[in-house]
Amino acid sequence: MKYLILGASKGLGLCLSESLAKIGHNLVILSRNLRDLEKIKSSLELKYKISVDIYNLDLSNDIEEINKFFQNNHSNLKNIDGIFLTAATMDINDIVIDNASIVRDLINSNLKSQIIFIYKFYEIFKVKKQGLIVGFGSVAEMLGRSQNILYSASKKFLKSFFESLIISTSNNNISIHFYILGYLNTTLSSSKKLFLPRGNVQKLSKKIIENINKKNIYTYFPSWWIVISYLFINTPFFIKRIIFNFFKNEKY
Amino acid sequence: MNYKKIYSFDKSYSEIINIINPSSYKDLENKTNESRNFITIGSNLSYVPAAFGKNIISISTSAFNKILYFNEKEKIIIVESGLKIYELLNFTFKYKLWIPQIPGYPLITIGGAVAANVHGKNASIFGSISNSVIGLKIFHKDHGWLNLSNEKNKEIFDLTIGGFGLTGTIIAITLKLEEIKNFFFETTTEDVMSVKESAEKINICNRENFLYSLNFFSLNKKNNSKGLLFREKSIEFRSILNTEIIFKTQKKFQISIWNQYSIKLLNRLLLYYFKFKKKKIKTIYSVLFPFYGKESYFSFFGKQGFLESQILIDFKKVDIFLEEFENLAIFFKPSIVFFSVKRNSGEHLYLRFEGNKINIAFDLVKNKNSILFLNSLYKVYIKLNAIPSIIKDSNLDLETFNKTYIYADQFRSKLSNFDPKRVYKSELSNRLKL
Repeated sequence: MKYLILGASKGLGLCLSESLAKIGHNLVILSRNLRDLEKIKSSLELKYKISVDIYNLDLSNDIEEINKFFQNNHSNLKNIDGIFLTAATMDINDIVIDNASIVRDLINSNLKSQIIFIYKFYEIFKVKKQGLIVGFGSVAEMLGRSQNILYSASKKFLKSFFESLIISTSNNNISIHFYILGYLNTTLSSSKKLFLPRGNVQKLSKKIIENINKKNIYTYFPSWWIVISYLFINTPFFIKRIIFNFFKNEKY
Repeated sequence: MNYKKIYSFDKSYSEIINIINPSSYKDLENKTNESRNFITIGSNLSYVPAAFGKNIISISTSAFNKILYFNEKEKIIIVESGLKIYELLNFTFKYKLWIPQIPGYPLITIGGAVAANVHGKNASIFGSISNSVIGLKIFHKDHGWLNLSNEKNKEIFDLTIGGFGLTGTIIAITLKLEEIKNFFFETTTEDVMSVKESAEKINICNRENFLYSLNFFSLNKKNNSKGLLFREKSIEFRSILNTEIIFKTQKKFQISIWNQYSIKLLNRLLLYYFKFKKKKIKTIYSVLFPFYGKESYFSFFGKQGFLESQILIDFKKVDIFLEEFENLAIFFKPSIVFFSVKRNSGEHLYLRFEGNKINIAFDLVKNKNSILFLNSLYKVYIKLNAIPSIIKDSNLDLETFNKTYIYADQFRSKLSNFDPKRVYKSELSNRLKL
């Protein structure tokens, strides 16, 4: 099988690339950092004797650029059996601020580009009559915040979008998996002081691969976040604000 | 930024430090942009605080752990510095290749091994890792990316191997691989009556694959440093080596149990055990990493940690060294757990622990007597031109270092020429004024 991983140069994307390569899958990996992609390609090809295609693509680009990428590489992309949308962008300036470039970059990379990818591959998978689309939400969407505003809003949108995808694909062979992620032990979160334990990226990666042949998945990782999520969703906003004020030093 | 309290392996020094974890080369460039002091940290398994220090930001290489290039025919591999020793071996063993200078613990990073210019138990034949390194790529905050080899930037190349990370962050390492025929070893054990006898036997048979001894020290007996000589010869064995093995960090309780009685008991038990276990077949991993799974030995020194001193000394001077050692031991009564003896080879340059000499190491329970004993023993090192290991002894003082490392000033001056601001520092470099 051949899988595409969006955001493969670090964190979950990198771990997932390694895990998929280990069991012999060929990969197409994308990231905005060509230097990193080249070394990941060498490493995976040498260690696991698979083929890895790399594409240098910045998801914060305008949608025309993403469309152009699909036009130029359609012949290679149509052989892909599944996609993993692990890319995510955070910015310390993601606050209430009038900055058009930050707004564009964050919305494009966390939302618009991902939706374009999903639609493009949905068409490819419809022709092939099978395929896998794996998306990733975040517990950041549970609560309004003073930082990572657009990031969490995008994740909330994505969650709703994937719920719709699961409903829309119930009559075909396209599998839709959606993981809502709590804190993970990636380099991105290593410097942050968090009140709850971090989930292990390797375990998550293993779980994603175990589920790879299942039709639909909609779950939390670590799984105990489902309890916190349930409580938050059913909590009135004024109580959420009190909780937020209590934890306001915490940066998600 | 990630503030964390970390310890040197011997527990002599701890500090709350700021560790940064760059996830990409670009991230490394960005995170080292500000004008501060840095040092690189791999697995932080050095006995001494070589990868951290007060007000110094430690740069973790944990994300730089890829195999970048491999050519089986030319026997060349390029790896990133954060790759662990066992991960390198898991890969190269599949092609019956390796680097023979393997330090004694699997989780040490290749970058750390190069920065400390490590050697293995077979150092009499293969010397230290400097013999396998043919190229380096480093990142320096002010100089940017530099490729180093004997042909390009040779001076910085020589300063970086065994330079304890003071020339910048080692990112990629080009290694020349050697063939290896067998992955199994037959260990035979022989009784020796003294450290002197161990040194004599090791000095004669210096072409054997792995030859080393463990000796136990007692102040109360005539034959006060009885021990065991281990010969480990590679053999053909009808079994397949597992090259998918994953070595994991072992967490142990820190309980202080070593004292004169428990040390005596350990010595007796080991001598008794090996009386009946004269031969044993081991995998190469058990031979290379004897302490993996036996980390309790170190945790039994307790929270106060331990002291280790390792020296290179001319064979002709071993006798007189042992005599002076015993006199000082009778006077100060330190608690010595055991000695190990092997042979090294190579050429001593800058800070490199190399030379065609006998290598003697010993561990001590950390207490006032042991520290006084060690401080007096340093004078013997100076007198006998013995070279103490920088990476093993966090008690080593500036005076002893300056008098035993004859190329230290050359290192200092060349390092200052390369990096006048002296950006990369650690507790070790501050202590030894490097």
